[in-house]
Amino acid sequence: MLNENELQRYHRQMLMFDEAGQARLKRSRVLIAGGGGLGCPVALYLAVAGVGCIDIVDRDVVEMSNLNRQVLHWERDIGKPKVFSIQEKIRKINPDIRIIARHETITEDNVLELAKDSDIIVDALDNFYTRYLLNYAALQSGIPLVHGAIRGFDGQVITIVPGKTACLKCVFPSAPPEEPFPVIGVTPGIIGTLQANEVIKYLLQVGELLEGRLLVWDGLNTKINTFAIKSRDNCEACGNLKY
Amino acid sequence: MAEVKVRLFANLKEVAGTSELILPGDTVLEVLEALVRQFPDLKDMIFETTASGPRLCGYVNVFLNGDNIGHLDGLWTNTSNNDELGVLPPVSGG
Repeated sequence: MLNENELQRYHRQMLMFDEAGQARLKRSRVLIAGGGGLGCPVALYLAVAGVGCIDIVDRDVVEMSNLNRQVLHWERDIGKPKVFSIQEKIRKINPDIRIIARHETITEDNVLELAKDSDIIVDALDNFYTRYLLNYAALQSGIPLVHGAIRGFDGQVITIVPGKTACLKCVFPSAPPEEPFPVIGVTPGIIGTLQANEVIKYLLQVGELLEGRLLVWDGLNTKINTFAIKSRDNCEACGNLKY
Repeated sequence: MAEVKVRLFANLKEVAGTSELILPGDTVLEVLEALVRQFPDLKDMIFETTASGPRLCGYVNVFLNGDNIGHLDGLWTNTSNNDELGVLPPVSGG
């Protein structure tokens, strides 16, 4: 049931998917792994859309060099764990939703526990080692995963539905070399917003997800391409989960 | 020999200084070899050297007209005039 405040707050989007859809968002829980350049816009847009519970995990604290892109972290937050900085802003932006902040490292030992109560997981991380852990948790738990990543003006998004689509290891069987990546804030803004869009569509069961399609954003030339991605039969992560 | 449109993404595009070019080749391998001849710095970003010959780096995806060559004949997939070959390394930042 939505209260009077919520009926007003979400009026414009309920023109698209009515009160039942909004109630569905309110009942939903999303795990956002990473509270950086991608995690900030994902958390922001899911919060204003009225997703009932946002669970965010990140081990880092805010640094000055984050501020060109991590838009929920401000200069006064330097030194503060990112998840608490996001929690504070989101509570002000939408006090009606619940935000759980976990200042911890995602490991093999805790990833299943972190994921287990979520309806969908968002990969807003910055390294492939942890992305593969998240992929593993999604596959083991049968919870969809929205992968996003950026570098410079470039970005990519794909939605993984365990048992149905290719998994992250099907797409990228091995991790690219690590590097201090260049980035301008608009890129994670665009990619994070696309990830939030995927989450909202999944929760509402509307539209067409990026299932089996890798979206590639080329910001320098303002081009979006999608490439068909199929499961790999010999994928070590999901090979035994195929229908 | 076929003339194939090659599209480069992410850091490959940066290193080559162009995102699109036309290259000759009757297989994906020939087209990619023409690419690394023109831009030698791309070689180690695309290929791994193995005892049995060239192999794509595990994280690089190559798409011929939108289909991953891993689901076609790999590097030995035939190419024709006006084909479009996308060479796509992942980005990994957040």
